[in-house]
This record gives sequence, structure tokens and C-alpha cells, in this order.
Amino acid sequence: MELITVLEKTAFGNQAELEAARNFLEQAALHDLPNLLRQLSDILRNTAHNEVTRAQAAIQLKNAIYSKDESVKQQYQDRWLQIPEEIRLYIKNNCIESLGTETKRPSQAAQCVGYIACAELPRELWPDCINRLMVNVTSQNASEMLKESSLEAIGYICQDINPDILETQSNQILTAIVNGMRKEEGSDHVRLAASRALYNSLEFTRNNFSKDSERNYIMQIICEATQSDNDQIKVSALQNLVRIMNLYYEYMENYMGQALFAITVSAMKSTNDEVALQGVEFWSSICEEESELAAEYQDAVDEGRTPTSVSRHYARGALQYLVPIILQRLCEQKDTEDEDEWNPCKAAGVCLMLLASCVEDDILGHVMPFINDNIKNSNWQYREAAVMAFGSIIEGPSADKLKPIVAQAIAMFIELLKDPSVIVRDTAAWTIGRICEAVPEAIINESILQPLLEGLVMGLNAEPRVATNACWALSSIAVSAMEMARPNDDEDATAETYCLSKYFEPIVEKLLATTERHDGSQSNLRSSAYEALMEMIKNSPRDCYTTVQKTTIVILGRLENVIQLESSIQNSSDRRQVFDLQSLLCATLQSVLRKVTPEDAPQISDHIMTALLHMLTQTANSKASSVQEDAFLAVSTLIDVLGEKFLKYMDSLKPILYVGLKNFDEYQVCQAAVGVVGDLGRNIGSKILPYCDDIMTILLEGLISPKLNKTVKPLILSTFGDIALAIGTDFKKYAEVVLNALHQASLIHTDPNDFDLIDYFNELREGCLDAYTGILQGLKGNNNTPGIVDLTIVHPHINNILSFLDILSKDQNINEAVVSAACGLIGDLVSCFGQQLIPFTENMAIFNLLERGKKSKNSRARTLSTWATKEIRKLKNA
Amino acid sequence: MSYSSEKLVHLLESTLNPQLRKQAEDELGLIYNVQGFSTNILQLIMTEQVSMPIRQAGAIYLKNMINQYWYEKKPEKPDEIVPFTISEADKQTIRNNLIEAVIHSPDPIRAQLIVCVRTITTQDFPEKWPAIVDKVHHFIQTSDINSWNGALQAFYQLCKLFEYKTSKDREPYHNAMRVLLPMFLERLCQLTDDQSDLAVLTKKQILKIFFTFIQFILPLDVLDKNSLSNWIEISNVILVQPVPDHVEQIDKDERSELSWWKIKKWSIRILNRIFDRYGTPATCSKEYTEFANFFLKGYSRISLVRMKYSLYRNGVYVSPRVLQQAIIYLEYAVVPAFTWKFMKPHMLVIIQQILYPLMCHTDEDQDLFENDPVEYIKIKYDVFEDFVSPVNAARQLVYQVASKRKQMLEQAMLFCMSELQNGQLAARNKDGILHIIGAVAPVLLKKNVYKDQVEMMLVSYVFPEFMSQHGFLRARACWVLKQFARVEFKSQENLLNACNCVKQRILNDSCLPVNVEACCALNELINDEENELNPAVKELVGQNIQQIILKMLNLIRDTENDDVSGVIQRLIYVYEDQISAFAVDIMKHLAETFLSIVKCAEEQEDADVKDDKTITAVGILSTVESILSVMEGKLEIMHELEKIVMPVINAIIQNGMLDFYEELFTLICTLTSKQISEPMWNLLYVIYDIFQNDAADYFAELMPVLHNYVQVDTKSFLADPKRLECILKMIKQVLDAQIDDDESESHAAKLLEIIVLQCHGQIDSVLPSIVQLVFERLSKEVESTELRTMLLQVVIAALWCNTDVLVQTLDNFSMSHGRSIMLDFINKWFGDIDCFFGIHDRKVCALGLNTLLHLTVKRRADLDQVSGKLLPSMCTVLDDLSKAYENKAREDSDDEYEETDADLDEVYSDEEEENEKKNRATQSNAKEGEEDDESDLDDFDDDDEYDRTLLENYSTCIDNNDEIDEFVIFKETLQALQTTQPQFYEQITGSLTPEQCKQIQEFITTANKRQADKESRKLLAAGGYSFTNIQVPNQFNFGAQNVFGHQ
Repeated sequence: MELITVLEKTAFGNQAELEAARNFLEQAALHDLPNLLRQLSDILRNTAHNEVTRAQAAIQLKNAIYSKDESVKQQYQDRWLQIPEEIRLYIKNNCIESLGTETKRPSQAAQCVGYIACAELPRELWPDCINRLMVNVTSQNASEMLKESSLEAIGYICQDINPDILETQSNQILTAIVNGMRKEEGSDHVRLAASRALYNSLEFTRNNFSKDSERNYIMQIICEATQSDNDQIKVSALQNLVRIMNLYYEYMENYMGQALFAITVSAMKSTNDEVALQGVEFWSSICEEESELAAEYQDAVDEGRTPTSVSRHYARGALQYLVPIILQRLCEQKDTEDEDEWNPCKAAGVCLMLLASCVEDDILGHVMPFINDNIKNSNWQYREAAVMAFGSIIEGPSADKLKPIVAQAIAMFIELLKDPSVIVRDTAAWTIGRICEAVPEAIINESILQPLLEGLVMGLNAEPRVATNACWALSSIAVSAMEMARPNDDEDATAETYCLSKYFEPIVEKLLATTERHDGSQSNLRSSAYEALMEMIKNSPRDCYTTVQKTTIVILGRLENVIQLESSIQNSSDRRQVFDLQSLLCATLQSVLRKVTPEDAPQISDHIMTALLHMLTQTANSKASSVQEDAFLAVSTLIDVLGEKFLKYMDSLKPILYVGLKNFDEYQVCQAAVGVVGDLGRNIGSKILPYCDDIMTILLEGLISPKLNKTVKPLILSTFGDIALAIGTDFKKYAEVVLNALHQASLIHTDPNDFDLIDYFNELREGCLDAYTGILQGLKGNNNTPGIVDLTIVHPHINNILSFLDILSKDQNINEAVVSAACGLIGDLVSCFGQQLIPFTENMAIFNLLERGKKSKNSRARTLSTWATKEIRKLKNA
Repeated sequence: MSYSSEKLVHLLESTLNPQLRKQAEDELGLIYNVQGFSTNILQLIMTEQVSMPIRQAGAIYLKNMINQYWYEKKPEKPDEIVPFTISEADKQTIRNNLIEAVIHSPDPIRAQLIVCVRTITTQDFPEKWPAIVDKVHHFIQTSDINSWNGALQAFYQLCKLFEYKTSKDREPYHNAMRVLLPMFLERLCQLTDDQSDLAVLTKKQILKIFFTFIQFILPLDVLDKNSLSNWIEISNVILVQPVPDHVEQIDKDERSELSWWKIKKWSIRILNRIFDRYGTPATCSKEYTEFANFFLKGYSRISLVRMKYSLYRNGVYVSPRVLQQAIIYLEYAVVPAFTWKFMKPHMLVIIQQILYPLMCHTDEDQDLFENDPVEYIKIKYDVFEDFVSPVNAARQLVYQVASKRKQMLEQAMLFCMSELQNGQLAARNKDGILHIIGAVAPVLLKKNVYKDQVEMMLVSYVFPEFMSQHGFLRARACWVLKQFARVEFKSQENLLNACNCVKQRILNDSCLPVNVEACCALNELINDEENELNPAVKELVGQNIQQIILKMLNLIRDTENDDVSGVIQRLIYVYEDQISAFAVDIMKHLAETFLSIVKCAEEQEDADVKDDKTITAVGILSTVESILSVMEGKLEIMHELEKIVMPVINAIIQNGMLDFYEELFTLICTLTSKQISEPMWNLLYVIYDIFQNDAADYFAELMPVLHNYVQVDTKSFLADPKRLECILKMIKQVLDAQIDDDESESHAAKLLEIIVLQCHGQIDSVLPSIVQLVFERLSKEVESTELRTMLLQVVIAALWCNTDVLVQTLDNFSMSHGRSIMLDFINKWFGDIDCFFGIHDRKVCALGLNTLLHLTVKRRADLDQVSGKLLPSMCTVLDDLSKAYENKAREDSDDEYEETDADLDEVYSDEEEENEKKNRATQSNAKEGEEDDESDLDDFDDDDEYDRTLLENYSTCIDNNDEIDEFVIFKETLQALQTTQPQFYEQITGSLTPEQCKQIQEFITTANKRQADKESRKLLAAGGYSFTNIQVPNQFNFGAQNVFGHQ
């Protein structure tokens, strides 16, 4: 079969023909890809062919070099580069020559050019590509289609390639774009393509933006484009402005006053939603930028520096013009709104939030009159907008300013929970939730609390969306109420009683009922209700314990029920629901277990363990990894609560635990299982010994397996420490292997510029330090004599440990937890090895780390540093 | 010419007759300087035939003569005659005979002669009067007890002389003691059982001498262990010796003052001193460690037995001081494990049977409480009582035991609770129990077990007593509540109830002591510095704030209690807003009270009473100051208040009450901090006068006031030239004084600098004299860097502010000196360029350097020599300045967190005690090394200390002033030079190191950033960027052509 026919079939054929065509193409690609691509490019190039066929050829060509999947794309690009140069040249030429020869939009040839360039330019191939495209756009007699498709190609290139690679060619790229985008350009298609290409090029044109003359011109072109009659151009030009504001804030003053302000404010008022959205977006991004600058200013003041970049306070200055428009937009909500649809009304709400956090107290004067005037408006849209406005400005103004306002307004919002309009009720519940979270001190007092709680509990009966917000508000109140009741601001202390005590039981009962609502799957209501329940339990004082006990029984009952349900599962949707429910119940179980007294725990543990084991076994080979994870987490909690009493479940747990530990594919499950091991080590001590051979084998396997997600590995390391501590000198048989593994792990370096990895490396290092500490303390033994012998295993590793500490001391990115663990390790080294370590204590690394610990804001780091310093001193003076 | 004895007798006799006195004194005045006169008087005094009054008059005359004329004086000016001093021959005679005279004279005369011994030893020992030691040695070796006593009394004077000296200066004293102490000890032992008056007096004198000897230093090279043991033994013996029966018959008040009790007091003080300072291994300084171990093991327990014996005399009298000292001994014994082990079994009994009764309300208490409540309050609040009162010692011991020994707290609390639960408990016993509970409050509040029960305890046992029929119990209830005020009440109701009770006791209780205790309790209840004050408490007290404060003002007036002043001050800060409504009334009340107390104090003879009044008056002044500083921002009220405070200020000044000068200056400072009224301006001259008269040493204290005069309202300051003149005179006086007082001089120089900066360009006529003053001072020796740089800084400031005048002035100096004074000055300045610290000083330096850059352009020959150093100096200064800004910010933020690990220093529990002992040995060996170690570690910290100076707190118009930005000014100067003087620019930049070039680039970047920052802050202050162009323009033209060249 001819290729051309095949392509026709891909466009017009029936199912069977289509299938055959696909097979043909696959075979051809396998057999001789270069030849296939060459032929495809010939077809694309040949204007005699049918336009659809040509387009199919282009698509096939493109699909052979580009994929949305990053790793596949990489593979395809490498494969492309394997093709002999002359064939590639031939294909490229065909493609670029095809630009402007198509009549359909978008140009397929442009995609081919773009994606080939993406493969070649990073390897410094195809040096004349950009120049040819520029010539295409700027040449006097270029056709509309040629210009447009060339600009599209530029757009694809700019979008996909690492900006650094294009920086050197930014002048040519901009020349092409600017020419295409000028208002003198007769074709809207060209201008639009140019504008979109510009959008993609902004990141690597910093050099051009830093030159006044170039920037002035670019800005002029963009501003002109915002005034185009063509809405698409308008929107695209506005998108450019939003992005430029983000990237080049510091250069914008010249344009803000003269033009950008007026352009964007008028865009905000546009009847075209897309245009209006960009207008709002522009100011949202100014707010974000200026909030960041305010934070930078504060940092600079705190550090006695002059800030590198400063705010010009555009948002504050524009407040008086923006707020009325935003409030007007807020009133444009529709009755039958799709919750996921993004429209100017919703964007206005977000913009108002950002404005509030940017200008803080200043927002109140502009928004409060609107709220007061409209909160009782007979039109529900205005009522809703008023509540919405209040909820939106709650973060930003100082608590002092907000408190009296909230105290005055809260009764009205509670009233609105009964509003005839469900949208108003929803927003009222949301606003109350925001208030509870942001200024809890304003509502936690006798006069407000009771009606508020009544309103919220009633709200739990309302539509799912309203009830979800009521759940959220209740969670916030519970957290804040506990915080206020805690003696001495001690985070771990449990208060005797608190302001919610007398409402506690009815609220919990109501929440339990809410979790069972039939419409619970809507608006996330069921999980919200469970989460509220968890927060209530977690933040309960001593005098609510009876309710906690009752809740435990209820949750346990439900867990047993849901296990029964498994047999009646009919379809995958049922299954998913059951799994979700199991996860939620496991999570709730954890929060109640943490509250259960050590006396009560053994009485319920058999039931709990049976249920959990059942769930773990049932789901072990299914895809329900979240149930597995949550169940393991619940097991961990149970171990914490039971301590040594957990031992009796060990043999039943063992097989399923090993399966979990080996689950390298679902790393969260593996992680939770490793957590269980750590908890066992900490709680049952040396009784874990019989299981250690197996556990250590699996853990070591996991540590080196490339299959296991790296986030689990720090945890594995610190779990070694837990086990060493638990089994003491018996750890010696694993010590050599583990110490070598630790050495390997401690050698891994970070790239100091990769911020994403910093957190991970901190965890990894903390894990290593914990493991070393655990091993030292474990091998040292309880009474000093026998341990000394076992410690000799560590002896050859002291130098490794010290060079690890040296690496740490030179790394500015290590966090407080690492410093603190390092200080602890230093102290342990000294107390374990005594005199042998003296020569090393003069080491600058040790000194630096102890100094950092001493000056740390973390009290644990300070304590450990002081302790280690004393140990050293004691040693020197001995 | 010599005066016969008779004539002398006659003259002295005449001085006793009022009619003849004047003439006799005149006549004596003619002959006192005759050779042999003083020896004649001494002889006369010792003549037994002469009547006692005349001998006494002679003794007093001799004492005064020796006081005045023993010292060798130099004439004040070279040409004046040498003032009279007693001739060396007469002195020798007196020294040779004085000790015998003391021994043989009766008490009244002896008292005067003792003073003579003191004066002479101060001057002449050991150089001219080494013989005194031999004399004493001689007499103590005789068998005559009277000689012993006299010699000891005389020798005691020498001991007092060395009491507070360092061991380096005590060598002659120690040499004497080596000889004498064994003799003293021998006599002491010899007299042990002799209870006669004279023997007891002699014993007392020996004990006093010994105590004085060892009070601050225990010279182990003088006293070996053996002899110390003997001293300790004998002290113990004396302590427990029975007192003769006849003494026990005497009235209690007098009994304690008798020698029989006094010797016990001195022996117990010796034992306490040794235990506390030299006998506790863990706390004594290291040279005593060995002795401490020896003492602890060998003697501490023996003494402990004796102490307990002194305490347990079941109803038998013990003098209060002995009792107090014995209790203190027990307190020391709580800490070392060795003694505690011994004490532990008895401790509860001690608490129950000794401390508890002591801590109950007594008959004497009740008598005072009812009949002289003011005196009662005075005694309860007297800080000096702490040193003598057995009750306070008992309270302290209870606390010490409870905090250091856990089990004891438990036992004591069990005992207290069981007593409280006894319905029949007498009111006074209840007082004692509550007293004990209050004493251990700090410990209870730290222990979680008790912390939770405190609230219930207060509610059940303390709250009801607020209504007790017994005033002392109501007062006790307030006191206990004060002790526990820091507890976190779980029930808001209880907290408010407590506050209300206290409020009622303040407002409605008829007993002054209850009022005062209630005030102090209130102070603690509203003292909640870390967390915000509970709003309900604030409101409850706030309802009656005016009544409460007025009541307190009355209390101060009636009782003159200083603690109540402190409470008012806190209330003023807490109720700032409400106070303004009646601040004027409070102020009137305070002013009246102050004036009457001061008047009363003037008329007082008794120095102690006078001191008490002074303390009260100072308290009132600081209350006045609190009100003023709270009202500082409210100008109208301040105006009223100022009128009321004026008489107070005047009274202090007119009566020259130096005691109040510090508070006076603080008051004036507050009154001039925001605005300066006409009366306040006039006060400047008054200040000048008192500065002339008696406040010349107060320049540093005066500085804040003077700073206000210059800086708060510079315009008015300059409006009347006398004001500037007056301050300049004071400065000149300080700088000219040639006294070695760097602090005052640095302040004076700083004030000059402030004047120069603040009066920028408006004092051209005065500037030359200021500069002259500075150069004069600089030409003399200047020890301190601070003063030197500060003086230079005055000139630098002038260089920047009034460039032309300064250059002219210096050039004039140059003419008269024949060399460039400008160059001298710059060399001095650059030599010290890295000695300018802090932000302000460096900023002034940077500004001055800028001016120099401009000046150098004029190519003056002298400046050409230094042009190469200008930019490098600038680099140093600006670089240091950047760091200083950073350090300041870091310091500000460091204040936010502080370590909170302070805990009760509980000693080890019993199980740990044995280990502890083992460790102790190694620890004390380690001590030396440990200290070195400590300092090593510390060296790494404080490099930022230099980045602030105390003097920069006196701000000027250039500080925190965006408009004067040293970086921006430098950038502009440099850019101007680059365009207008390219050659010169080349010259000064050409020689820079790459490092310096880089720094200068950074300064320019900093300058740009600072400008941008300044503009940004201006925009913020103006309410954001101002948008004027609201219409979308028809065309956009940002002033650019198409630079992308389209083909």
C-alpha cells in the first residue's frame, strides 16, 4: 500500500481501515523510520496533495518526534538525532518550506518545525532555523499564512525549550514577533500568532527588557494590541501584560501610570468574560507581587539590609478604583453555576482576597460600606456578594481592626445560614469558617459562641455544600478553643476543660450523624465531617473523655460493619466508596486512639486489631493502597498506645507487615509499614529481636532498591536507629552492613541551587544521624562494661562519621533538626569513645555545629549542643 | 612659752561654763599650735586628780585636734604658708602613751581616746607606729584583765581599718595577727568560765576582732587548721554556755543587748561565716576547697548540734539575733549532702516546733498592729529587717529546704494541710501556717503536682480569711495571694473573686497594714508581663481605678511606704487611658505629699528616719515620673502637670537636695521631651546655676536634659543666644576641668557635636570658639578612644555642616601655628578612622569624607597630600557602616527570644547524693580548666559589640533621616566628580585596589537601592501609587522607535 493512501485512510477510513493504517505506520516506523519520516515530509511539502492528507502526514511526522510524556519525548528526540544528518536536513527543509503553504489553521507544518527545533537547538544543531523563521515573518512579500505559521513555529519553540538556550537568539525572535504584532500588520491571524509567541518568549528576553528603548517599543506594541477589536488578540495581549508584570515588575512604572492602569481597569469592566478575567488577573498578580515585596522589605529591615527590589504600591494606589469594579463583579453570580467554571465573578473574589492581604487594614474602608449596605439586600446576589466580600477580606487586616467588626457582624452571618438562597447559605458558612480560622479570638466568647455553634450544627443538616463549610468552621473552632485553653501555651498539654466542653457531645453526635448522610459523597461532605470529627477529638480536653470513649465504640462498630459490606460489593464504584470509607475510619480511629487512656486501650484493642488485620489482608493484593496506608498508620497508633501489650498481635501482624514493607511500588504503603517497624522498636524494645533478621533484610533491600521512591529512604535510615536502640548490643550482627550503608548515604551531595531537593536532603541526613545515634547508644548497652567491646565495631567508622559531620558543618542549607541531631551525635560519640576522641574534638566542624546548635532558635538543638559541649569539657578535664 | 597644767585645767573648765566658753575657746585657739600642747592635754586627761568633766572636755578637745591636725597638709598655693600640723615630736609622745592611756582611762574618756587611736592608725600604721603591735602584745601578756580589755579595744580600731582591704594590702595586719591571735585565743580560753562583766566584755572584744579578721578573707597562712579548729571549738563552747541566772531575770528587750548574749551572737556569727564562705566545698572559692572539706567533715556537724541546742530551748529564752543566726546556719546546712543527712531526720520537727511558732503572729506584733500600724508596716517592709529578723530567717529556711529537698516540701505541705483542716486552729496559728505556705509558693508553682492544687487551696483556706475578724489574718490572706499571684487560675470566677477581695481590702479595710498588703497583692495580680493582662481582671480593677489610686496616694502619705509607690506606677502604665482623666488630681496629691515629707525630713535629726523619708520621697518622685512619661504624648495635660510639678522641682533645687538630683533630672527630661515651655526654658539657667554650685559631677546625668534643650525645639533654643551660651559654658567647664573623668568629657564632646549638627548653619559666629575649645582639649592628653574620636567628630560634623566657616577657622589657626591645622586634623582623623563605632559616628564620618572630597577638588596644597587616602577611608567607613546596620537589626531581632531554662536549683535526691559526692572531687579538680575553656568559646561571639555606642542614643537630626543618606550622597559626589573633574577622578580611583573598586561599586548599588526603598516608603505613606490617567490613551508612545528593525 502506498503511504499516501494509508494517510488518506487515517483521515477518512472506517474502523477497520483505520486499524490497518495504524498497523502499516507502526510497521513502517519499525522497519525504517528515517525513510518513513522522509516520505511523510515529502507528502507534507507537496501542495498537490490533498490538504487533509498533508496534515495527516505532518501529524504522523510530529508524533514520531514529540510526545506529551516527558520520558517518551526524550526517547523520541534521541531517536530523531540518530537519523543520518542528510536525511534530517532533507526533512527539515521540507517542513520549513511547507510553512505558509497550508490553508487550514493551525498550521501542522509549524508544529513539525517547532518540535524538530526543540530536539535540535539544545544540541546546537540547525543553526539557521530561528533566522529563517524571522526572515519568513519580516520579509516584505511574505504571505499571511507564511508569517502566521512561522510565528506559530517560534511559539512552539519558545514554549518548549529551556529558556537559557534561546537567550542568545532573543533579538531575532523578538524581531520576528514584534514585526508580526505591530498594529500596522493587517492580519489579525498574524498578530495573534505573534502575541502568543511573545507570551512564550518573555522568560528569556530579560536582556531586551532591561534596555529602555527595546522595552518601550515592546510595551507599546502590546498596549496597542490590547486595543485591537479582535477579542482574541486583546486577551492574548492582556495575558502578556499579566506575565510581564510578574517577570519585570521593576521596569513597569513608566507604563503603569500612562497606560497599563487604564487598559486593565477598563478590561475588568469588559462584557467579554475572557477579557475581564485577564483584567482581574493582572491586578491579582500585582497583589501577589507586592505582597512578596512587602515580605522582602520586612526581611531586609530585620536583617539591616536595603531591599533589592521594592514595591511601588500600585495595588494600594489603585484600591479606590478597583474595589468598586470588583464588588460589582461579585454581584454577577449565576443561579445555576457550574462549580468548576472560572468566571469574572469568582476571579473577583480571589482578587479581593489578594488585595486584602496586600493592603491590609486599608481594604476595610473600601469594602465595609458595601457589606453594610447589601447584607440585607432583597436581591440574593447582593446579599451573597456582601458575605463573600467579608469572607474574602478576613486575611490581611490586623486582628485588632477585625475583632470589633466581626463581633458586630457575626450575628448577621449566623442569621444568613438560614437564608432562602442556598448559595447565600453556602457562602455564609464559608465566611464563618474563614472567620473561625483567621480571628478565632473574636468569636470565642460566651455571647457569640452559643448562637454560632447552634447555627453551625443546624448548618450540618443543610445542603452538602453548606454542611461541608459548617464542618470546616467547627474544626477551626475546635483547634482555636484548645489553643486558648492550653495552660502556659504548652503545645503538648491537654487542658482540663475548655469553652466547647458543654457543647462537645451534641456536636460530636451531630458530626457522626452527618458522616452517614446519604448525600455525603457530594461536595466532599463525608470526609469533611470525618475531618471535623477528628479535629474535635484531637482537640478535646479531659472533661470530654466520656464522649471520646463513646465515639471510639461507634467508630469501631462502623469499621466492623464496613468490613462486612465488602462481601456485598457489586461494582467498582461501590468498591471505591467502601475503600474511601475504610480510609476515613482508619484515620478517625487514629485520632480517637491517641486520646484513649492506657487503661481503656487494652479493652478495645482486640476488636481494633482484628478489624485492621482483616482490612490489611483483604486489600493486600488490590489497588486500595490508601486503605493499606491508613490501616498501617492506625496500627502504629495502636502500638504507641499499647506499648508492650501489643506483643500478642505480633505473630498475626508479621506476614502482612512484611508484605507492606516489600511493597516498593506503592511507596506510601511501604512508608507506613516502615513507620510501624519504628513504632515497634520504640515501644516493644528488645522483644522485636525475633523479627529483626527478616525486617532488616527487607529494609536493607528497600534502601538500595531503585524501585522504591526516595522519600521512604530517610525513614528507613532512622528506623535502623530505632531498632538499634531497641535491641541494644544484639544489633552488632547488623552493624557492619548498616554502617556501610549509612556511609554511602551520607556521601550523597546536594546541588545547593536545587531548592526542591534541600528538604529531602535534610531528611536523609537527619535519618543518617538518627541511625548513627541509635547504633552508638544501642551498642553501648545499658551497663557500660559489655558494650565497650561491641562499640569496637563502630571504631573503623569514626572517620566516616567525622567526615560526614564535616560535610554538614559546611552546608548552609541544613535545618534545625539536622543541627540538633548532629549535636546529639557529637555528644554520643564523645561519651562512647571518651579519650580516643579527644584529638578530634578540636575539629572545626564539630565546633561549628555546636555553635550553630547553641545559637539555634530550637530549644532541643540548644539543649543538645550544651550537653555535647559539657561532655567534651568533661573529657578534656578528666 | 608653755602653759602650766593648772592654766589648762582652768581653760578647759571654762569651756564647760556657757558664759566663759567663748573666751576660753578663743584663748585655746591662740595656744593650740604650741609645741607640747597636745601632749599636755593627754597628760591632763590621765591625771586622776582632775575632775571627770574637765578630763572629758580635754579628751574631746584632743580628739578634735588629732582629727584636724594629724594629717600633713600642703599649702593650696605655693606662696601660702604651710597649715599647722601637730609636731612630729608631740606625735611621737602621743603614740608612745596612747595605749596606756586607753587602758587606764574610764569608759567615757576611753571612748574618745579610741577614736584617736583610729585616726592615728589610719595615718601612721605600719610606717610610723609599728610599735602599737608590740604594745598590745605586751599588755595582753600581763595578768591584768583590765589591761587586756583596753588593749583589745584599741587594737580593734586597727582591725576595722583593714576589714575591707584586699589581701595584698593586709600584709602588715597579718603580720601583727600572726603574733597576736594565739595570745587572744589563749585569753579567750582562759576566760571561758569567767562570767564576770569584765571577762565577758573582754571575750566579746576578742570575738569581734576575730570576726573582723575573717569576715572577707580567711588567711590560711596566718591561721592553720589547728588554730582554726580551736577558734571553732571555743566559739561552739561559748554558744552553748548557760547564761548566768541574774541575766535571765532582766527584761527581755534589754537582755538581748547584754554582753552575755552578745558574745553568743559573735561566736555564732563566726561559725556562720566560716560555714558559708569557707566551709561549703561546692560554693567556696577554690583556695578554700581543702579547708572546706576539712571543716565540713570535722566541724560542721558539731556546730549543727550546738545550733539545734540553741534553738531547742523549749520555752527558754534565746536572744533574737542568736536565734536568727542559728536558723541561718541550718539554712547553709541544707545544701551539702554531708550536713543534710544529719539534719534530715530533725527537719520536720524543726519546722513544726521552731519555725512554725516563729512565723505566727505574736503579742508584740498585735500590739504594734493595733497601736502603731504605721510602725508595724515600716518594720514588715524594712529591707534591713532581713538581716536581723528571726522570722525572716525562718521563712528563708523553710523556702530553702522546700526548694532544695523535695521530700521536705511534701512533708511540710502535709503538715500544713492537716493543721488547716483542723477546725479548731487558732487564728494566730493559722497565720503561721499560711505564712509557711506562702514562703514555699515559688516551689509549689514550679511543681505540676502542687500547681494544680494551689487554686483549690486558695479558695478553701485563703479566700475566707479576707473576711476574717482578725486584721492580721486579712493582711496575711493578701500576702499569701501575692505569693501565688502567678498561678494560672483555671476558673475565671476564682480569679475575679481574688481580685475583688483584694480590691475591697484596699478600698474598704480599716486597717492600714491590710491596705498595704492588699496593694502589694494587687501589684502581682496585674503584673502579667509576658501575656496580656486578663481583660476581666483589667476591667474589674479598672472600675474603681480612680478610688484605688487615690486610696494608695493616701496610704503613701500616711505610711510613707515605698512599695505602694511601685504599685501606683504599675497601675499608671496598665490604665494609661483612664489615668489621663484624673492625672492632675494624682499629681497634686503626690506633689503635696512630697513637699510635706521633704519638709518633715529637713526638720529631722535622726539620720535613719531621714533616710527612710528620703527613700519614700524618691519613690514619690518616680511615681511622678511614671505619670509624666505615660502622659508624655498628651500635650495639654502635660501643660497642667508641669505647673504642678514645678514647685517640687523648685523645692529640690532651692534646698540643694542632692539626694534627689538624679530623679530631678529625669523629671525635667520627661517634661522637655516633646515640647519646651517658657518656664522650662527658664529652668535651663537654674540648672546652669546648680551645675556651678554642686552638680558639676552630674554632667552625664544632666546630658538627657541638655540634649532635649538642644534637640526638641532647636528653633527656640537658638532664638535666645543666652541658651546656647549657657550650655556651652557648662561644656567648657567640663572640658577645661582637667579632671580625670572621661565619661563627663565624652558626654560634653557629644553634646557639642549634637549642637553643631542640630544648629546646622545657624551658629556660624559661635563655631570658631567651639572648634577652638575642641582643639585645646585635643592638644592635652586624651586617654580614651571614645573621647578622642568624639572630639574629632565635633570637627567632622562642623566640616560637613558649616564647611566654609570651619575651613576659615582652621586656616586662621594655621596662620598662628605656621603649619596646616587642617592637615593635622585630617591625619588624626584618618589615623583613627577604624575607631569610629556604631551607626551615627560612622555616618558623620562618611558625611565628613564627602565634604573632604568636594574640598579636595579645590586642590589645596595640604589636602593634596591626603587625597589618595580619601576613597580607601570611605571604603572602610561605609563597609563598617553596612555591617553595623545589619548587626543592629540582628540585635533587635535577637531580643525576641530568650532562654527559658532557668529552673529551681534543686540539689540531688538522696539516691544521687552519694554519686554526687564522688563527682564533686573530679569536678573541683576540673574547675580551673573549665574556666579557661569557657573564655575560649566566648571569644568567638561578641564581635558586634563595637557596632553600637551608648552615646548614639542621643539622637540628632541626621539619624534615621532618609534625606541625609550617606550612600546616596557619596554616589552623587562621585558621579559629579567623574563628570566635572575627570582628571582628579582618575587620580583618586586609579590607585584603588581591585577589592576597593568592587566595594565602591557595591556602595553605588546600595545607594540606588536605598533611593528606591526611600521612594517606595514614601509611596506607601502617601497611600500607594497615585494614578491620574484613568482613560485609556488613544495612542501609546513610550518614547521609543522600533529598534527591532523590520525589513
